[in-house]
Amino acid sequence: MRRAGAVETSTGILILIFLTAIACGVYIYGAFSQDGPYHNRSILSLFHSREPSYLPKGLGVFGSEQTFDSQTLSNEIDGKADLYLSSGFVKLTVRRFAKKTDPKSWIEVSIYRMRNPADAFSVYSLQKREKSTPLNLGVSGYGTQDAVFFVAGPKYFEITSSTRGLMKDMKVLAQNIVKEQPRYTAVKTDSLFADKGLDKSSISLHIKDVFSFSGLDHVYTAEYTDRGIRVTAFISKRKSPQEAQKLAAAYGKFLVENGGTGVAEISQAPGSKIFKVFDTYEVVMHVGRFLVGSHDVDTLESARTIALRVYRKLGKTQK
Amino acid sequence: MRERPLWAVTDNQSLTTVFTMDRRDFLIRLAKAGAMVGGAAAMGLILHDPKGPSAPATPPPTRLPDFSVGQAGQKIAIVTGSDRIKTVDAAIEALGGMGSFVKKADRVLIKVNAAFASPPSLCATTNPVLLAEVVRLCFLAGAASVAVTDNPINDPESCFSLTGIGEAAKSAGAELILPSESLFTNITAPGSTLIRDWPVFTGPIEKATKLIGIAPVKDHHRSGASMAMKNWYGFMGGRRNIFHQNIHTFIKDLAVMIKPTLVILDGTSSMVSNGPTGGSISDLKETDTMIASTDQVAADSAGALLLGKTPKDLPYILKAQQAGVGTSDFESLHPIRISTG
Repeated sequence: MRRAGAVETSTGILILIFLTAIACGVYIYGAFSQDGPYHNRSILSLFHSREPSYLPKGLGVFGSEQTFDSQTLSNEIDGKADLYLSSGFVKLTVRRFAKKTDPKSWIEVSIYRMRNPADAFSVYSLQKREKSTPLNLGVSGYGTQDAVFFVAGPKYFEITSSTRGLMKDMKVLAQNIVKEQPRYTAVKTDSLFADKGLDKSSISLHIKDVFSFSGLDHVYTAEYTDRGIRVTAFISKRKSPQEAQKLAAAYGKFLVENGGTGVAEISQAPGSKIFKVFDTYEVVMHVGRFLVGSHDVDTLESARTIALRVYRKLGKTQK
Repeated sequence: MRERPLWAVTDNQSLTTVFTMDRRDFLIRLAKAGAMVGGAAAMGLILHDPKGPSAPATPPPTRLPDFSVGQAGQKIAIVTGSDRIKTVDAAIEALGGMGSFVKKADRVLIKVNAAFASPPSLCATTNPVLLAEVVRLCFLAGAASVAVTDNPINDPESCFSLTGIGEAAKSAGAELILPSESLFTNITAPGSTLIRDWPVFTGPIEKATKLIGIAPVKDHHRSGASMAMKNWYGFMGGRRNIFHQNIHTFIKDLAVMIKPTLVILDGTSSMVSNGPTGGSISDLKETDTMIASTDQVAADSAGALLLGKTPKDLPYILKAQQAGVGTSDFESLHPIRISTG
């Protein structure tokens, strides 16, 4: 019987190594896959435990980095995943850091990578906490007693903590992170809305299915106070004046189909209409490329006043 | 030069090394090859399925144990106060005391909400102080053992550790059961169109004689609220997030499948926004209420009010009521209302 030559032996060994590598891969995937029913740890996380450059002194890495894509986002944030998935979600990276002197004092940084800055601003604005104070980070951001939230370009950041005594570290962390981000043109928000009575912190961007109408997307909303009544105003910039006009008509039709009735028009705003929907009022109008209005307002007068105020501001902008 | 077959010896030395084979070798190899071919053919014949592949059969419906205590009836207690130990003690006492539910030698399973690796301060998970007190009450009533479990969304070890639930359970003398593959069984829930041949965390359930659910009151982006009935979601394995597409029916199916002894709904600090994860104490509202009930639908209906909602705002509550799980009209149970001050 002949003996195998050197080439055959080498080839055989290479094939065995290759098969062993496949077997190891299958085992590791099965053991750590986020898709598995019993494990939520990413295999990639095992290789990402270096201290990031933005980490302030006194904090150390606490646990490994985890990443989630659109298939696995629910594994991390459960039902809130829909909010992100419907707004251009790309990837979530989660890192946890702890005080080197007290590991029970820890901070979690969640970085949501969205499709573009508008999508990031949308998820940021829609989760805005009422009890918060603006932070001077050079980007849109605010702090609560135990957390910091901000948006930089296409990324939305949440920095949360295990105790209330970590605000100083969280602010430094936020500042360091912002410094590392590339410069993006900020999403224009308050310049759209008329100033009088406006709560600037309330401006939000809704990406799709706005006010439950599937035809309405990319709508900015803002809260006003008029004679003690809270009023939601809305603006959506369309591709052309014709599209804005068509959308106004389609939204009006949607309101009627859902129990609304047209009750008045506003003479100063051609093509405008006021609807009564059950016990509240809705104003729908268009000016240039903008769809404008007020939504779910308790009184007709306040609905009309605020919608007209926003309409006039945009009218001047158009000129 | 004589002609020779290829496998025979040649005059060239290098070729001799490669091709040398005598008649004996040839016959042995031929026999081996023949045996292999024959064996493969025989195996093919044995394993041949003349009917071809067919869809795997769904296992017959599996009815999980009914943990309810018949004599207890439908009861609900709503206790106000900010001290969880005082309010839960008062609520359980109002329902007749833990002894009405847990008897000597009972093996109690407590299903907590440990879904996220977040601190107790965010109230996204079951409060550890509350858990420890309920474990204490169970032992006081004579329970032989108390086990605490959940199949969290995040990494189980991190969840039980960072929420404080693991430490609280162990300190109170309870056993902590973390999910592992061997504790899951594929089951089909009776009457459910969604829970079919699906991995369910049955291991701890099979060992228990009583089941208590302890859940925080939370806003939920998809279902509107996460309370007592939604808490059973943590008994599911697999890629359970697919059920979010039909969340209200799914929660109803869970409530039909799981028949607890008692549910405790912690509305001391309710997560009124950005649920179910929250992220800040700014998402919380001090609603200072503890609800205990033998009727999980009634408990969730009372809890809905803490979130500024009504049962009508939460379709799964009405679906569960229609399925006969309980009543959304919790006032009809004449709630025992107590203030602990």
